Amino acid sequence: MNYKDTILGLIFLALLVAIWHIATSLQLVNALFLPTPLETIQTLYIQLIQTQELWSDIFATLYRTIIAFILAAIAGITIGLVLGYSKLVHSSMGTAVDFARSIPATALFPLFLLFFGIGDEAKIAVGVWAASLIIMINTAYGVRYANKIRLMVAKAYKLPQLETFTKVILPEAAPHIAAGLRIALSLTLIVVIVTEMFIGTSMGLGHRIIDAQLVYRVPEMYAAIIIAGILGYLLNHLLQLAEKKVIHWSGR
Amino acid sequence: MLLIKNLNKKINESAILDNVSIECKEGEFVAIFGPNGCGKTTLLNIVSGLDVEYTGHVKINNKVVADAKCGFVFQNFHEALFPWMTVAQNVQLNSTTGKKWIEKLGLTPLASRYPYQLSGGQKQLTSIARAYAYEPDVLLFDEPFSALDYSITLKMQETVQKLWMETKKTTLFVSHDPEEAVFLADRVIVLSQKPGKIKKEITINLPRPRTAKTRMTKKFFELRNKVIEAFTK
Repeated sequence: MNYKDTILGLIFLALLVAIWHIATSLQLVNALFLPTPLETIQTLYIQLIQTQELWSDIFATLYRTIIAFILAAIAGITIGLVLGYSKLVHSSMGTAVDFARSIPATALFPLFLLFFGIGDEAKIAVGVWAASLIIMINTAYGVRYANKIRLMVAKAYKLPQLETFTKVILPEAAPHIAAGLRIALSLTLIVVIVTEMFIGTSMGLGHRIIDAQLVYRVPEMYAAIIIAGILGYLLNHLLQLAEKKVIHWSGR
Repeated sequence: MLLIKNLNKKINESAILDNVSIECKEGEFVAIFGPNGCGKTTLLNIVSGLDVEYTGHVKINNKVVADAKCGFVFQNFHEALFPWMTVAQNVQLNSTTGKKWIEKLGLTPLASRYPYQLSGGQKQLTSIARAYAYEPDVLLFDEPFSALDYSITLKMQETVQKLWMETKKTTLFVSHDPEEAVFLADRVIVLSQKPGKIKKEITINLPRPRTAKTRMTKKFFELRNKVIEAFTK
């Protein structure tokens, strides 16, 4: 993104906040559902800087998201590589994987509670489940649709099988893996926040959002929602930066 | 030395190559010229071991295909290089003599660049360096310059000739351009429309090194016309 795009993006954002301000100050929207931007920012200021109570929630959500994402990446890439490489594995596991990813991950949360208890483990496990399936499918796709000509080059030059895998097939799949990771990261954050809204949570942005909503502390709810948005935005950008560095050749 | 004997290839009962026999002597430069779909690429794929479903015999330096080394220069240079490898890494794909060939082909200043930072001609030079660095028994070219500018193509042809004169590597060069075939080869083999069958073999006895001037000589025209005549007949 260049300098001009950044400016335009900020102007548009400011415009949205202005509309929000007008809508609330003219009382076009019930103040019970939507506080003014100022109130929301005040709440954010109090919770982030004065009482600093929001930080422990941010770190709790971030911790669960990152742990779940890393575990999902390890599992998803490993299984995805096998799934994409071996025709036998693909034809035997393909349908099961397709079915598994069709189940909304959050529908499985009660099941995971049974297995993992009400601690962090259950929340992380749902995140891992949802994210690893996406990464797995993207990785397998990347391997299966590796460039045919480059595979022919590796074969014509009699590159040993292991080297063909590490030097050709893995980088061939890398852009697809990266795309999977990006979707999976956003999904992990969503799933973690949703699970935090359920029992057994005393910390986390999801917990804070649902708590604030239950007692109609609406500005607090919006503050936590905005923080969740910023978190997702930053995580996604970090991953994109890493992606540009690692797979610099992609799309050129 | 490359020996192809009674080669037949079918895909779903439809014949692609019909009893093709070619013998390239050690150090000989043979060009294959024929219409699109005459099985030229199939022939190279069989020689290089990419295609194993055929009948007939292929021997390279008295070795079976599986044991022989072929330096294959592909037509589609945009895809045939590995975009995540530098020029040097591409050239050294499965060899240790890359450095020598990078220097020889004038690629040293580009050695640490990636393919997306190269022009088409530079990409194909990298492919050629890779083929030589592999220390192959035989070199295979599959219409390597068909997507390049005419002026660059001329330069590339001179480079190929120069390298061949220095190394005397047995070479099989598939071309869709009769002038290119005549300029480069000791012998031009003209294949027929599908199924590919040998129509004619024309010996090119032009002195080397052949230059831009050679292309203007009467002898060159005569040979080129002979190739075209065999092609159209």
